[in-house]
Amino acid sequence: MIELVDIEKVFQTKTIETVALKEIRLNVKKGEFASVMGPSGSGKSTLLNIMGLLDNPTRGDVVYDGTSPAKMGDEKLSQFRNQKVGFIFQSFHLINDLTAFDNVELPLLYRKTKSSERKKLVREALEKVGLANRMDHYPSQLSGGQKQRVAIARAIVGSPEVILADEPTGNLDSGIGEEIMNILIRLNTQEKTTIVMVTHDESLALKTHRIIRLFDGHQVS
Amino acid sequence: MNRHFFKLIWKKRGKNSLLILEILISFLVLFAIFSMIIYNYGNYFQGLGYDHTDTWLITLNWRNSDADITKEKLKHIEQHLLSQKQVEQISFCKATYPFSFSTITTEESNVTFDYVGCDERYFEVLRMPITEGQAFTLNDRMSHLRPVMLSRKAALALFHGENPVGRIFGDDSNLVIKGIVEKYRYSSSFSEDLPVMFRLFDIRDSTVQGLNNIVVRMKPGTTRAFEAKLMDDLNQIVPGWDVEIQWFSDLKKTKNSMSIGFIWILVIVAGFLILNVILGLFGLLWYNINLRKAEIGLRRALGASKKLITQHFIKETLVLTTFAVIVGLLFAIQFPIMGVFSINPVIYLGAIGCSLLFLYGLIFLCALAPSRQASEVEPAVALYEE
Amino acid sequence: MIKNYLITFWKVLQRNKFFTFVSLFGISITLMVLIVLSAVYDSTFGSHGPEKNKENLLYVFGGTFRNDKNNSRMRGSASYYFYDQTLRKMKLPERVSILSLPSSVTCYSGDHKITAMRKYTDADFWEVFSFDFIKGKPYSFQDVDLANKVVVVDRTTALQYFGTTECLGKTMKIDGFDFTVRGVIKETSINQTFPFANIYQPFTTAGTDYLEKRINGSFVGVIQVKDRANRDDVKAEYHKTLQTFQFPNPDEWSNVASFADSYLEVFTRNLLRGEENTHIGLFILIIVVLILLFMSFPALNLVNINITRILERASEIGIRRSYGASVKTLLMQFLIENILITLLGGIIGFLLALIVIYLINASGIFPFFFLTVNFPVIVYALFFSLLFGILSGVYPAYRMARMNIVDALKS
Repeated sequence: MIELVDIEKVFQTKTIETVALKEIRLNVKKGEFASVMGPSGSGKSTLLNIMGLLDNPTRGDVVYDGTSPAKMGDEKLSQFRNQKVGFIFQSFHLINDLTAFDNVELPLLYRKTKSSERKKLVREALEKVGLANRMDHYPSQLSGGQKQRVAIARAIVGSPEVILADEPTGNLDSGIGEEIMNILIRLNTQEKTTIVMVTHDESLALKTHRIIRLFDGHQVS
Repeated sequence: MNRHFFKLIWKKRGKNSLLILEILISFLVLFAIFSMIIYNYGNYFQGLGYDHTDTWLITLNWRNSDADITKEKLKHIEQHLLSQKQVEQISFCKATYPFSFSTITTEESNVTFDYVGCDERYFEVLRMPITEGQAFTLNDRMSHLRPVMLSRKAALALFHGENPVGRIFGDDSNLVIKGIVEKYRYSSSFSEDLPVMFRLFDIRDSTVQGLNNIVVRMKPGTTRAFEAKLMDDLNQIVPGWDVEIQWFSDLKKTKNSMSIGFIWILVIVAGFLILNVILGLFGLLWYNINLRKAEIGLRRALGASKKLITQHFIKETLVLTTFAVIVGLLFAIQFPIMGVFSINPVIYLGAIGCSLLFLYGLIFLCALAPSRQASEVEPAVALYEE
Repeated sequence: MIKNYLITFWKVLQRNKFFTFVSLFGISITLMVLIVLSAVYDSTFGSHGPEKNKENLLYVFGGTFRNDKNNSRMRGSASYYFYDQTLRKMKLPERVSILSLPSSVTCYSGDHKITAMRKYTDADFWEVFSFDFIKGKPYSFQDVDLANKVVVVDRTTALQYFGTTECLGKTMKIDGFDFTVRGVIKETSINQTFPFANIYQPFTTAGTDYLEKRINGSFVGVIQVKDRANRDDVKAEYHKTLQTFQFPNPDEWSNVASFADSYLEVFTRNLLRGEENTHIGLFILIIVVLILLFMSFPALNLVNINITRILERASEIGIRRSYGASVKTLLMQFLIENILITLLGGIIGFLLALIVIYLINASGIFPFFFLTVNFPVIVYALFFSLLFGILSGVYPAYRMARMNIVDALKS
């Protein structure tokens, strides 16, 4: 469902050119749970960002089911992101000024959903991650694992086709990390959500369908 | 270390140009304000040289009246005034009475004098002590010599400390000095002590043209009711003339308010400029600090104390200010050097000093809070990113 | 959506209370100045006080009289005779009034000296303008015909002269004559130049000058039209009537350019020295430019503060963008947030303006001048707040909304 065609990403500062990704050809199938691994600086996060249309490749194309969203204007692209993609970040990136409920609700606010419908979806998402009872808590009142679960709820509330997770367990201890992993696996098997996950942890990667390895911006497996 | 600051700010001068411009203009406006305040109030506290309490001004406007008839009428008015028991003394004078809107100057022997035309009672009415010689009288007119009275400044300008009484001067060598008064600051409470020449004019003289003002000293406590009666009396003596009675205390308020008003306008303009400087300053500081959070965190992690960080940002701000001030000083320093408006250079220097103090003080205070905030950045913040 | 924005906005304000305070301070002072100035404008040109129905009034402020032979001109107010021969001959107006420009008079009462501005009017004056009579009523047509020595005074003068407003029927001495008080009115501020005065007398009590057939004088005219839609017709009729005016001394003045204007037109025509033109467009243009310049200065200085405030939320920007907020959506969010701040500043500025206006009025710093705050001033306040919000918010909002998502998330 996601096809990366000849992706190349070069970072340009005034004097230095860094090649982050080179000659990436990938195909992620619908319902797949893929992980991306590689040493620090190998371009894993960059790959995920490009896949999620957060960043533009210097060369090459990102194709979603036949369409090239990158060619759309900002309005359409934003809409696309809203409907199709859910992000989970390593550092949670919750908005501290908003409650768990308001955080999860965010993606729905950018599409035309009725207030009552939104409430229902948020509640369901929080229940799926087991945090329905903490709806009115602020991120400052939640533990690391709980924050990441809220972030997952936010990623799934809009029923996206793809979830992109950048080191989702990186800031959590192994026990909690396992829990998070289980939630993701459950989402993949039960809801058939496509997931691409960047991780350092080999043990977690082995639980996925496929491991994509990067080295120095190249795909090595 | 300080040179390093200058280099930094010079590099970013494009971004900082708006703020520098605002600080420059603020400095110039402050310079103008302090100059005016120091000048005006410096003069204000010097004493006027005369006493205008309980003194009234009667202004007469006679239209196309025959000169002889006018003279008779004036004598009649004089007689009437002196017959009132509330009136202590009167004197006729021309347009440069205290707080007048007119100024008349004249030049003799290469000195510029403020010019006053009045009769011999003027100094008595306005209680101006005659410190040398005595008041001129009509008897002092002889052959071609005309009697004058001078202010101390005038005497000094002509004879530099030598005894002026009896001396003769003037482009036609026809003016003889009869006496000296210390000073006569008449334009407003803020005007400078300038050389003044008093010339003798009397209604008994040949021409009464321009001698249409009467300074009247009243007994203390004379009321407006008496003013009303006096108006009626005068309207009966000279119906058809315009008669106006004003109290010098009112004239003073009006004249002084012009100077004060102008200063207030400048203060308001300065206030607005400074408000913008403050806004711009906070914005710039806050913006810079925000961009450099990582750098600050790192410095702290490497051992820089909070105080050091605070001082660093304050110094940066003061250097920025100095850029603006230097340009402003180049302009402002011309004033004392060239003695613009012939004002005492010390006043300009004082104004520059006050402006610098005020500006740097204000900017220092404004830079304090954001700089302190910068020092509060946790070292972890720097290490957390990447 | 709105709730989400409001909550975020409120939290953002709280986050850095000091900088919120500094921003609000700058905004409210700037808006305070603008509101005070708009109070001056409204006080001068708006419909209130004696000019409650200003849209139905046209003003004639003399004109420019020309001598076509030697090309000399005289510009200014005119004589009673001039208006009597022109305005009073018109058919379309509901009513016409001829009044003098105010001049200074001195009255003595007991131990007080009162300097007041005195105006000569006809009886129509009191119908054309709607003064608030605290006591009594205006002098009548009969009073004017008989040249009765009667006056209408304003409250301040009554208090100064009599010590009380209960002075109907009492007399005051003006120019050596005794005048009986017919009515006491509320004060008018001097910037409402046509109705303003402290003492009003029938013009027939000013001696017999008004009968003289001459051109120049110190009178002006006011026309009350039946319906504001007729104003252009009335202006045209005045123009036509002028052609029929017989110049008493054609060797001196043979031609006149005079107009029946709205108050704003009178003002701009005289200010910008237009004889044929009101130059209203130019006047409005100058005002708009000055206001924009005045607002741009603090707006520019606020730009950095605004950018930084948004910068601190870079991570939030990244998240919102990742979850589907377009650049336009974010731009609107930040712009609205900024407008909310300037609206808040506007409210504070409005209160400050009220204080300043109170101080101006109470101090009497400008003789015979005071400001009133009418409803239009509130509209102006709102408008300026919005305008300022857009001016100071658009650029920062746009810069921040356009931030690269990945960079935003890294912050």
